[in-house]
Amino acid sequence: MNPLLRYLGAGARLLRSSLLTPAGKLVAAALLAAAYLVLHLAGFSEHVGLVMGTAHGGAHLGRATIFLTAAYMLLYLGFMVISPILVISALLQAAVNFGWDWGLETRQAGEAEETAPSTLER
Amino acid sequence: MDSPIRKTPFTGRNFLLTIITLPLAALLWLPCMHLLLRPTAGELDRPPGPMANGMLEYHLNLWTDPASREKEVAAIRRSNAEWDFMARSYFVWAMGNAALRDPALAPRVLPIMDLIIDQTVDLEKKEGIYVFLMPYARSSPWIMHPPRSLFLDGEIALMMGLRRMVQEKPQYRTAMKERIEHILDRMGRGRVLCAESYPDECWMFCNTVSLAAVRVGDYLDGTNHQPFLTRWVQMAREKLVDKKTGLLISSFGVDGRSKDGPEGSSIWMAIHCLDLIDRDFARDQYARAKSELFRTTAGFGHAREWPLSWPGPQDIDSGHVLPGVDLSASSSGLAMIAAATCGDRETLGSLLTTLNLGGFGSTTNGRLKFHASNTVGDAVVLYALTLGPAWEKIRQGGRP
Repeated sequence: MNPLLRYLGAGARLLRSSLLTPAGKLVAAALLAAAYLVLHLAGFSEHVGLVMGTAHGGAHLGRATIFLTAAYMLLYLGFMVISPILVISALLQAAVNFGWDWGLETRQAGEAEETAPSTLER
Repeated sequence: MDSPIRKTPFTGRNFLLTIITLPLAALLWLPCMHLLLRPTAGELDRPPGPMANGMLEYHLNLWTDPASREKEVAAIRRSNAEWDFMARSYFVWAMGNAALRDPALAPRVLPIMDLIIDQTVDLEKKEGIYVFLMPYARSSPWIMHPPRSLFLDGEIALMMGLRRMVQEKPQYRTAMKERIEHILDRMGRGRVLCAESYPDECWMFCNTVSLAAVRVGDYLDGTNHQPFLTRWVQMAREKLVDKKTGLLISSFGVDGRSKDGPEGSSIWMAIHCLDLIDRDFARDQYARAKSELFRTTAGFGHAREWPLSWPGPQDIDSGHVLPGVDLSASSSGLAMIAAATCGDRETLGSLLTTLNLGGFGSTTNGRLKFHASNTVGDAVVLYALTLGPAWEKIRQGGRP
């Protein structure tokens, strides 16, 4: 198998599995925000009208600029819509995990107490 | 115990929780998102707020710096000469209202208003009416002669009128009177009291802007064309209203035969202008237009270009239409003008919220520009955020 494809496949698997955890979701949200911020600071918002066709004079734009501006627009939507959803989902999931683990540990502690021999028996 | 956030194993529990929490998070976030993007109460209650001021600064800079102006005008003319003209009109009207609200602005905006008006009139004089019309204006004969476009006469007369409301300028008094004479002569000759903007094409937008210009002229010069204005509204109620929706149609021939039904980009501006002519009729049209064309999705307001009963194409007037929700950029922008005119803060607020989401606005040196928009779109929004004082002053009566 092509090494590049192998690495991409491994990356995708890693992302898929990490996205299922609260930490993975927070990292994904932060990555989206960071990528958006980088393109925003690089000034890609200037070309949005030209790429959308609402403003004219975009004939001079290179393919890379058009591609990156389109990416900027998608990342903006990701930052506004997807990132907050990932953060809220991570917090909800973390809360459930916390409650689950706490419940489990409490039950295990209770069971341990019940099964432990009393001082009198000893 | 490990922090629940730091646990990373791929487990069935995580998979199950992801399936449950992602939709739940979306349900929590999507209905709340508009709250972060909604303009502040101050923006809506005491305009012009930061958004209007930022946009005003952007446009003032554009017209103060010759290099920026030439670049912008050249860019917009490449797409549509009409947009170049309308950007000028809306910006002048916005400056007029801003200066009426805050007289301290007058010394700064009056030279720019004059510059735009003079340049526009000069261009029309040198290159003819076609300089601001789309190419198809040359493809068929005009019904009324000599050819004139009510699109140009109405908007230029209104530009001069609002400039004169801020401060009288004798040169514009004469020029405005001449334009109004042309307007009244040609509208009076039409079978439905309307004149052409393009060959055998009368537009509700242009005819109502012209009526507003006539009304402003009455206020400034002490003339009285109320009988004509009343007759026009009676005629429009009888002959220019779509039977299904009760809305004014957008375009028709000189003989009154309908060409296009009700259209967002026309009706919202017509409502704004008719508010000065017949407020009850304007408010009735607003209620109908809102019901037919305006929608809110999760707090984001948007307007369609065409009512469901009259599906039309995406064209230069509708601007880009977002499929699925039928959001028309032009109709949504112009709906802000109608909402502001009718004091509908809720609708104006929701439309501005949508602009804040999809407009890609950014402020540099106090100048706000919406990158997803263009000069005419920005000028329309600026006008919506500044309008009020001119109509209010005229409605109060008296003389300037």
